[in-house]
Amino acid sequence: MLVLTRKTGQKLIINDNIEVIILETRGDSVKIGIKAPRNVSIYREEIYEEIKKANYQSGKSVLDSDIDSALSLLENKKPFDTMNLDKLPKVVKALNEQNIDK
Amino acid sequence: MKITTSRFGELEINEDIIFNFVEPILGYEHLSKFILVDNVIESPFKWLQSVEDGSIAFPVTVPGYFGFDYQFVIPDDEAKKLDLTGPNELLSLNIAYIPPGKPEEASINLLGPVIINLTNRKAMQLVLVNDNLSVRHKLFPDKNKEAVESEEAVTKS
Repeated sequence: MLVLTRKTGQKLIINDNIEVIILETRGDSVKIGIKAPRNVSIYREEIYEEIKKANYQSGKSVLDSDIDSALSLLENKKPFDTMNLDKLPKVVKALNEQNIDK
Repeated sequence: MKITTSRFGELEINEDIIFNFVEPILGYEHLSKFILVDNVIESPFKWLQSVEDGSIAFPVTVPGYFGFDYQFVIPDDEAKKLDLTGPNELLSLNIAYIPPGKPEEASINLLGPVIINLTNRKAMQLVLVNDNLSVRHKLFPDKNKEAVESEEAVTKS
């Protein structure tokens, strides 16, 4: 890991096309400006952690009965007709048949 | 092939319905194969069931069903990972969370949609760069308010 010290207003150039500038420091906060090509994604690390945490909760702890209770709160139930889901007949149908078989 | 799941018991599935995650569902880097289980016909919720770990299944849905105006741009580099050529072969789903016993607090993750190329069945969880989108967007904002209000009423009485 490269560690270096910069003053307010000073920049770093990464890989010829990414510019990082220290805009302001106040207490323990640092305001940073980043100029990068459109195809470079920049994320705050907490976003990843937040999504991970949400994924853990959703993947392990939700039961089919929870979905039923959520659905009972829906006031205007309408047919589920969504973009491209009709392209999944194999998946949906095959599984439905199995569930009916059970 | 046969898989054993904790929610749906044993399922006999064809390999051609398996989605291959080229980028993981965050936190589940060890799982790359999922299928979509339609447990209740016509339900707006489906299950994204892991093929490799039967105990892992994500409830998924589409925001449009709940009246949310939701759109996002898939960056070119991410679209390339799925070899996506157009919207016709794309299926976008959002992972839901329903806290046990508190359905009124159900939420969906709008910031990290799961995108699937239906043609080649490559999939990934996309992380959007958009500060306006929430990881826990409430599905029933009105119900929540009512719940809070009734709690307040109880406190006051």
